Amino acid sequence: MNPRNSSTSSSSGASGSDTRIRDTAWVLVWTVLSLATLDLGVGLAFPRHDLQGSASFFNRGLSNEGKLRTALSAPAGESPLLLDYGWIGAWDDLPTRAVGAKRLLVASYGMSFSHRVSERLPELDPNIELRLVGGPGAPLNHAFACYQEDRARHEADVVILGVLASSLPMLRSMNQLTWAEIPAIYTYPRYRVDEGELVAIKPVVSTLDELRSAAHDPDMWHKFVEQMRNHDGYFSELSFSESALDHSIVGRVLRRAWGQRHSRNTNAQAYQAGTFDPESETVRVARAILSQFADTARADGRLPIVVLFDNTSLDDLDQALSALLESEEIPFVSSHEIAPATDPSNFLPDRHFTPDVDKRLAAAVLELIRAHLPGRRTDVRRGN
Amino acid sequence: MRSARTGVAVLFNSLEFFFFLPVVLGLYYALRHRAQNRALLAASYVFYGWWDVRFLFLIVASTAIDYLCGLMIGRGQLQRRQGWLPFAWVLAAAIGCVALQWQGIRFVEAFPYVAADDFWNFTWKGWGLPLATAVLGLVALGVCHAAARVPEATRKKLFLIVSIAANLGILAVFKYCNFFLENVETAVRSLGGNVEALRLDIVLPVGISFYTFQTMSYTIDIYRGTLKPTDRFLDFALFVAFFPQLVAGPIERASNLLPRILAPRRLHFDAMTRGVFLITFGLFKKVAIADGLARYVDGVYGASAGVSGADVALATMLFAFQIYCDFSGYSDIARGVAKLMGIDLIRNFNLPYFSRSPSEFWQRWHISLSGWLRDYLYIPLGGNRGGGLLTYRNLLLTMVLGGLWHGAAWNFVLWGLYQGGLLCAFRGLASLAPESNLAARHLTAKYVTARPQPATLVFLLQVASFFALTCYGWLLFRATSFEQIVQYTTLLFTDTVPWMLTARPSLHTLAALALLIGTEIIEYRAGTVRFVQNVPIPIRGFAYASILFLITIGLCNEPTQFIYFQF
Repeated sequence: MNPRNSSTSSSSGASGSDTRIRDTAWVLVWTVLSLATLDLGVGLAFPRHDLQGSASFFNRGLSNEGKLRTALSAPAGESPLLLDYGWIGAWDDLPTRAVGAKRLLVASYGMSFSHRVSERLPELDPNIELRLVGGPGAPLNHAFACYQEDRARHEADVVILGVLASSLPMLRSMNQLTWAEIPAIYTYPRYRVDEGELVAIKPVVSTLDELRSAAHDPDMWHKFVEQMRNHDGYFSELSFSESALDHSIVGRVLRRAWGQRHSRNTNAQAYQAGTFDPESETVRVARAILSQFADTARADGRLPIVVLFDNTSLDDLDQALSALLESEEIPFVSSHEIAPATDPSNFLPDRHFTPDVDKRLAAAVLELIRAHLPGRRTDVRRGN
Repeated sequence: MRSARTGVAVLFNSLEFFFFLPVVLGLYYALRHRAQNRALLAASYVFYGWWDVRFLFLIVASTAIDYLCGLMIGRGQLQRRQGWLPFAWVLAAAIGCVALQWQGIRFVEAFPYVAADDFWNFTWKGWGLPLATAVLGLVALGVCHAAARVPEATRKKLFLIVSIAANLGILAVFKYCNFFLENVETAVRSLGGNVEALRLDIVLPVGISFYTFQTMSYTIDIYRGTLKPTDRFLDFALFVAFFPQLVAGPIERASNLLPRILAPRRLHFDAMTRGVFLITFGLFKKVAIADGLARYVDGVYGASAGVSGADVALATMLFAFQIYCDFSGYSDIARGVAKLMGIDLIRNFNLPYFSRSPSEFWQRWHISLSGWLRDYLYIPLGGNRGGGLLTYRNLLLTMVLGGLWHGAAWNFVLWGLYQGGLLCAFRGLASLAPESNLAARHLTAKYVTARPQPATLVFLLQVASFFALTCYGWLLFRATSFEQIVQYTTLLFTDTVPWMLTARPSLHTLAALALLIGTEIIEYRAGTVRFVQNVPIPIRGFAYASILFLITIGLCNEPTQFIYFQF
């Protein structure tokens, strides 16, 4: 006689279910352990303070506060961030007037795009002297603030203001810490249009020395951060403040993703239906800046020229600003007519225009100078 | 509730969905069957309305029309409540979604959302639509009551025509109207006529192609006698608007999804773990791979000049993976979310790039659409029953209309024609070879079986060569204009210049792609999706950790809208 099988279908089903739950629990444990190992391993492989090299992908998610403190405490010449460039007023040894054989002093304000074009001008016309003022990745409000600070310091005949499409929304910021992953840390004012007037909110920290002092002065640091919190449109507490996320690769990457999302959403406030929103604060302030730039330049007896760099789409920037420039008869060059952004061959791998495009834009600027300052024409050597 | 960012759908990989899903699931698990269905219906309407609340009216109207048509086809008459509930539902949608606009919430920051200053500001847009809806609704109910006396065959045909006409009419207006007008304009101009731009300002509702096809299949199946109509209107509304598959499929058959909605669901541990896995793997495909490839592909296909044949070839091949990961990733997430509710959706992709012939491809790619086209278009046209030429005609017509389903543009028509051409060509080649020939059997394969094919050199060559043919089809699909098709085809076959574009997909994207390809090779050879259960637990854990790590890194890619949202 065979003994009855004491196991029933329900009990074998129950034990099967228990096995599956147990296996799933073990899978979860191994997943968490593996993730922690990956986090630790990648963290050891890529040093935390390397913001430029191979570790930069993971370290761009460090807190902005953490990046800043690391940069300020690094030995001279070893800072992972650009410390010395772009501070408003901190420029010396620049030409103040055209001397010698030079007949024309051109002062150019902006970022690398406008400087690369301006640097071509003497190649096309050897009578031109250059006074270049700006900062790496500088948005329009920085360029304008530099122009205003510089007005009394030179006797330029022509002043050029560069406007870059990709950084136009950032004129709602007060420094690059809040929107750039590898920021230069100079500060600049934020401008607002208040009852038709352009009003500046000046940064509480405006020099590198003041920033270094603030890093050791809790009250000053608090004011610096508080001003960004209240007036910088890109400020995000999660991205700025140091926290435990800085110590984990996964945490840094998550913060980086968050920061990018935040920047994209903030940028998007300047856009409507895929192009710049004419009613947005960004475009209204940009127009007010360009208008005041032209008015003050003319009051100083200078020729104002605006160069619009449409580097992200066909002609968004032109559509947003050209009507104002035309109505106020401000001479301008629009890059989309010379080098459309839809043609990748117009760009270098680092997304600057190619030297050939820079030269063509410079030739267009030179045409404007010659057309508006006929009395100052000289024998000019036309570029190819 | 209007979003200040209308036009942005809730993406499965968005922060909004990250909060939406746990709330919905929490409510779902706390409720019983009927209440679960009501909660899911409300959640589905919130999910769809988040994009643009006005177009909820369209879904509700389509729901009501097909519900009534289904009853009239299947039963021939309406009970009192069966008519008045849909009528009230559509009228409420006309008032609440279109006529009454409320700027209650403004999304001014990424997070948290803040209430608008004018929180209590309601705007009344007019009585036009609600009155028209009421009048049409009453007329429709009157017609239904009168039609009860019509002979059965005539009545069935009449209401089937009404259902198809209504759904195709919605598609025609919202999806194809401007395409038609543009072509008329072009034709008139080419004949020397002078005509002003005829384009209308019509927004394409997200998911319209999916839910109209889904509801059409309901009434057609009732007409064929393979399905009985349901008299539970709100459950039927859930079948139409079920949020996991509402905006990008799979296109569910009523015979599969409706019974699962009508009956209480049981939650099984296996199904829930499988659901979590599908959601994770779907996110991996979308976030880590598709979004990572998008930037490079967009750079090539968005360029007006300055690309080489090598760029076109690489971008097209990567687009093949982008669209696969984007679409199958969405389907995986949809199936995973549904599994967490105890509902099984149809599997929409089955390793399509292992196909060696077009017929095999269409049994593996967008299975729900190809099945729909087969059952409701190809077979009614005659299928392969009419002999050679008629079969080719039916294949071409089905695939051209399938291409047009994807979008109102000539490149989609071309793509459909190309796919139809491939089907005809392979069929023709097979008919020339003897019956016993393995190659012939392969060319006309109906053989997506559980058994994997041996990895012989011939097999690999077949897969690679058919993949190349598929990729050319994707060039037609992805191109932004006919001129670009001509230009890039010419570059592909004549240009010997190496890469011109310096931008490349990132290393982590390519690593994620390699992981996906490796996983699918293992799945193909195992012949089952359950192959992971045979993998030792520590290795499984490490693989899942790698997937999660790559998803985290992929979050740094700029998110792109799911490609099939535009269809």
